[in-house]
Amino acid sequence: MTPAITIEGLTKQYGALTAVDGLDLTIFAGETYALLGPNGAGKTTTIEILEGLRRATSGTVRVLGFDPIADHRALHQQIGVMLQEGGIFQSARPLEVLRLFTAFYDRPQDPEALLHLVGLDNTVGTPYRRLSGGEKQRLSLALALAGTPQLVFLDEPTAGMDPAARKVTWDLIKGLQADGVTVVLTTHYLDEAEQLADRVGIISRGRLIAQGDPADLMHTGTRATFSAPPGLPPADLPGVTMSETQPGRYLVEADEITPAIIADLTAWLRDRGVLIRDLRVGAAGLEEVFLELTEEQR
Amino acid sequence: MKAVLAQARMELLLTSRRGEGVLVLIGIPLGILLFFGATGLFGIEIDLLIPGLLTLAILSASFTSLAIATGFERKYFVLKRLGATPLPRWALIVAKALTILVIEVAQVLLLISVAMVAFGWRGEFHGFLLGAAVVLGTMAFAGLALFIAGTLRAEATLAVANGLYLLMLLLGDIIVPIWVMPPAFIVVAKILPAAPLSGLFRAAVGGGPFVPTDLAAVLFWAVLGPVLAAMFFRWEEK
Repeated sequence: MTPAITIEGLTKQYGALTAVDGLDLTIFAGETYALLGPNGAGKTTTIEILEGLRRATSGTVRVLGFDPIADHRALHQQIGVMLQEGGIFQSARPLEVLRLFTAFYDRPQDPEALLHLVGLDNTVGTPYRRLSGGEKQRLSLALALAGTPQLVFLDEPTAGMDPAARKVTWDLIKGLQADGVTVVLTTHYLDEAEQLADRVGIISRGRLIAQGDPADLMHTGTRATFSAPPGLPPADLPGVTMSETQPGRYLVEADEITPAIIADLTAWLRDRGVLIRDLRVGAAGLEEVFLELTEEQR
Repeated sequence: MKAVLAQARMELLLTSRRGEGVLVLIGIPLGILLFFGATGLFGIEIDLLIPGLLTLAILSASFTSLAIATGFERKYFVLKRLGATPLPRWALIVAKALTILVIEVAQVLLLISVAMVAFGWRGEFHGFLLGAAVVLGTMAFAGLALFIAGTLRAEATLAVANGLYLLMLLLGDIIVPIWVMPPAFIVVAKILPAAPLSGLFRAAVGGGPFVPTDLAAVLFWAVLGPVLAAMFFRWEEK
């Protein structure tokens, strides 16, 4: 696999604050990589260094082989950027902004096709400041595609969107994946990372604390979770401890969760006339992995 | 080149959409000309008024309008977003300069032709001096505008840009001749770039004498303004 992005020993300090702390990371061409982490973890700083908008304090980064600061123009012919917020003239209309941005690139997309692609055909006469939050985000995404990029940076692409607009955006990102575009995204939404990412990196306090494909990260073979009516007594099964983590939510831990343990557990529940819901082996989702990992850091 | 022209077109389009901007750029200088031209109040003559109004036009385009627009572009991360495209920074600055020059040429032509047609004014034109005054005045004001817009918050830029506009309107030898002012005010007026620029315009179109210290003062600001901007401009609000 060819690396699209290499980050070695990246550190960024703002005065006494260390926003990124010795980060090493490789992102491969054609993959979708999601950076997860709490606010202030260093996600946006990292992305903005890769975009050449900020200077690293130390360490080296290469994006498509370019130094983002020294080769700024050449790099930006190949990549597309979606900022976390804003970035567009308040009184400009979507098609005007798309026409402007496509004029910057050697391999421009057709502005009207882009407008259609992100579903903003009906906003032709509306100035940017009057667009809804989701429409603003979709216009911002369209601008990231203006130059037919090989790689896109999407900083919280669906923040503040309603479910329908999120679906449209996810489909657009899946379309980019199908075209072989490398996608680097940051998100607060763990389901977004699960849905879109080939690999997930969890960042806390400027360090990468876990990395892998979403299923691997969630697969911890020593635990299972299920939902059932609250107030069950702890199961007296050999080698298993069971606890009620919150009313109606139960955690089962063992050296290894085997099919036999699951069978024992369901038999034990049957004997008590209890119907279980949501039985899941491994973590309940990235959210759980994420909270656990970032909790350990505190 | 295509990118620069596209950017300049967008800047002009957005300028034309800012109602208060158009008022400051065209409405106020033209209104002052029509008012004093029609009433003849305070014995203000077109010969004296036109050079001052040219200063006011340059001030509104290259200072007030530029500072406010840039301040808000910075606030809304427009400058940052443009920094994440292949458009180089110099190209953005060239696009803004082109936009300002187009506006200024329109203002100068409009004011002079209205003065000629409506009030029968006949200027004494020195083309080279007129061009030099426009360019140097623009450099001085635009430098200051970018210095303010690149260091203060957008709201503060709005206040400072409007405040300095009013100050220079009063002390810029624009409507009120500075020689009628108390000495302390004359000192302040001579320190700011507007009054010396009016002096240059008086020599360029109004048959006034060429005063070398006026040129020196405008040149000084034409260097200082851009240097301040280059040193202190930040592309993002902190």
